[in-house]
Amino acid sequence: MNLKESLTDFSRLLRQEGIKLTVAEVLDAARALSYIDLMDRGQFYHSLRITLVKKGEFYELYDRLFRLFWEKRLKIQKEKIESINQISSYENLSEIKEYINKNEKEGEEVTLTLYSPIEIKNIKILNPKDSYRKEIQRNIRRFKRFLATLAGRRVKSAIRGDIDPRKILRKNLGYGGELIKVVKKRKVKSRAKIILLCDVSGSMDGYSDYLVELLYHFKNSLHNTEVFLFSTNLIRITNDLSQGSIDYVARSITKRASIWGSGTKIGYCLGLFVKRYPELIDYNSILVIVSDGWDVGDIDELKANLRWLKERVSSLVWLNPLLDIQDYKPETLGMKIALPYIDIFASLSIFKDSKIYEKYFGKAIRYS
Amino acid sequence: MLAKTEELTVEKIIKFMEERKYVTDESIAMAIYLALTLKKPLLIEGEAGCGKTEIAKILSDILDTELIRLQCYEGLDVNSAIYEWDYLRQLLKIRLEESKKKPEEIESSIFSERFLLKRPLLKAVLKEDKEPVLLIDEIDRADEEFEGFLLEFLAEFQVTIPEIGTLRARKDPIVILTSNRTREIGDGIRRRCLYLYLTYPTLEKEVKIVRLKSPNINERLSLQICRFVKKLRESDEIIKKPGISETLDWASSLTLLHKDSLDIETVQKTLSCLLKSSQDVKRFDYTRIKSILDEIEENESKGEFNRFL
Ligand SMILES: Nc1ncnc2c1ncn2[C@@H]1O[C@H](COP(=O)(O)OP(=O)(O)OP(=O)(O)O)[C@@H](O)[C@H]1O
Ligand SMILES: [Mg+2]
Repeated sequence: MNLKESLTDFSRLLRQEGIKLTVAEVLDAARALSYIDLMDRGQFYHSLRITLVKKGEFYELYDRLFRLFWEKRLKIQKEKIESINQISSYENLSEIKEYINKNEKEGEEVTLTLYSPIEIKNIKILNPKDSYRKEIQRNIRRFKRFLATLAGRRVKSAIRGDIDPRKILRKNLGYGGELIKVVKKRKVKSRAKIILLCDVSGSMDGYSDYLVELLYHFKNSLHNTEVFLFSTNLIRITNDLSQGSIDYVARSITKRASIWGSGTKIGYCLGLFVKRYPELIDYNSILVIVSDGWDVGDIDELKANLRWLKERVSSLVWLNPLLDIQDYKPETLGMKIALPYIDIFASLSIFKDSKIYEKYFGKAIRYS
Repeated sequence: MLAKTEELTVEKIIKFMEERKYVTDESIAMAIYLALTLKKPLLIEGEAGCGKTEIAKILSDILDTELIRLQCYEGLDVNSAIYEWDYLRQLLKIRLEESKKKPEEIESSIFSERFLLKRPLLKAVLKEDKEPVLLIDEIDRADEEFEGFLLEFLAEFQVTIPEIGTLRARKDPIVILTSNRTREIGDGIRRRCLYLYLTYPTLEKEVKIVRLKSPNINERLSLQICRFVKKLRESDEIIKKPGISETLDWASSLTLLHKDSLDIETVQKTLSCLLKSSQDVKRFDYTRIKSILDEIEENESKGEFNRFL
């Protein structure tokens, strides 16, 4: 269990208990921890509170959760964690809630139950880097096949309007549900062109390593790919991506992308894309927007450009890293505006984790 | 005094703040420390008179840098926060040069930096030598629209003046925002900022503050004052509860009166230091004074007052 993972778990717990927080804030917390004396309980306590809790009325709750999580954490023994790993599945964390309300006297028992669902979730993160890379490549290939079935025809989207990704997910998780195979017999030769528009503003900072990997492999395993980065401006990096090793590429695009890490204006950047690259837009194009949907800038601009694009591309995919967060609902203004135009709304980690990929795409998603 | 933020530690912040007579606990020091190291704005919310504004002032003193203050109020618009054209001087210039120059020439000369009235945000952006402390005070008083603008400003630290162009801060200012929660601040600002909630101090802390700020005060009296204020805050009938400023006001009035302990008459006479709203004054049950004083006496007889001496 390293600190970073514990922190992720802790923020999940805070969220579960109703303390709103974003990935960007968890990253702030992580950064904060790198500047303090970790052995000092007070510093630890306060730096997490300062970065994660943004309302005074949550201080008491935070205090309870902090003690429950961090102070008991120290007491868990190794073998217990291992036995926890064998527990097979968990629906949700509602049990945590129960225990928190209970008296803490129950000690170890409480701890054990409390941590189990979280620990299980963490196991998958411990992938060695090589297999992680392979995983990305594999999932991109799968995605390519999947997209081939979409390209060239308009996707009717039942998930337009009030989309509920969780419902789709659940449907696809179940066995014996009414799963419909995606058109498989027709061997569609893919003329699909993939256009990746990738948000690199501050709130996306935490994903930049993974994004570089992803974009690199996308471009190099699917050469009909166009890649753009945006935040408050838009740059095309398609060519940079096929110019050498991944480390080389990472360095060179970081240099080019001086926009890396500033604010976002998705609507405006989509507008730039429409204006500057009209030749890329046609029914063979699959537009993939990678963004957490924060700080979209001008709302009307976003709407107008999405509508315009939606009518001219094969399908519109939105990959949002926040979808990995339990209970995340796309309720930011930007996401709400965007959802009606999105054909596929999925988590960004579909490419690094086959299990997650399968949740979204492994079994068929129904468009009817 | 600090030359560079790199040298900062939490302990040093506490020490520097207290040297400037600001009693600082770990939560405050940590908030300042992280604001400086992570270079993020700090939003301080809390009850009135609990030391929010003072933090920014003292911080600028510690860092030996300019304090630029934007005091928010209802109806504050973007222009009065960034810049305005100095119309009077522009008019004057036009008069002077009308006969000598072409209109275009005059126009370009009067819409130049010399004719700008720099308001706090522009000042903060133009500051070149050393990052200033930018205090955006009582942001809850400004309206939501302004808050939206501020959010953008905090992301980029730049302002655009159509006639001149976009100016970006050379040195990102150290930003402190305060709010008394008369209006709920949006999540956007909260997410962008680090956060500290300041509430009424503990008895220990308040006694320490009173002694630091009025060093001549009798020790027993200082404790009585803080106990009294604390009990007053706990009573439901008071709507506008006294903050630290009120405690300090009261303490100095009492020292002026050469009192060395509280009695009913004195408290009655000076109660206006603590109760600032006429409603509270009207509704206050004056027999409460006696009962509070009795409680304090009981505390003292148990020897509890020695704890801090
Ligand atoms: N921790 C402290 N140590 C010393 N003095 C303090 C402390 N906290 C507050 N004070 C004093 O209390 C008074 C009020 O502080 P300040 O004006 O900063 O409060 P505020 O929270 O900004 O109030 P308001 O909500 O009215 O703006 C000041 O005189 C300040 O010096
Ligand atoms: Mg103030």
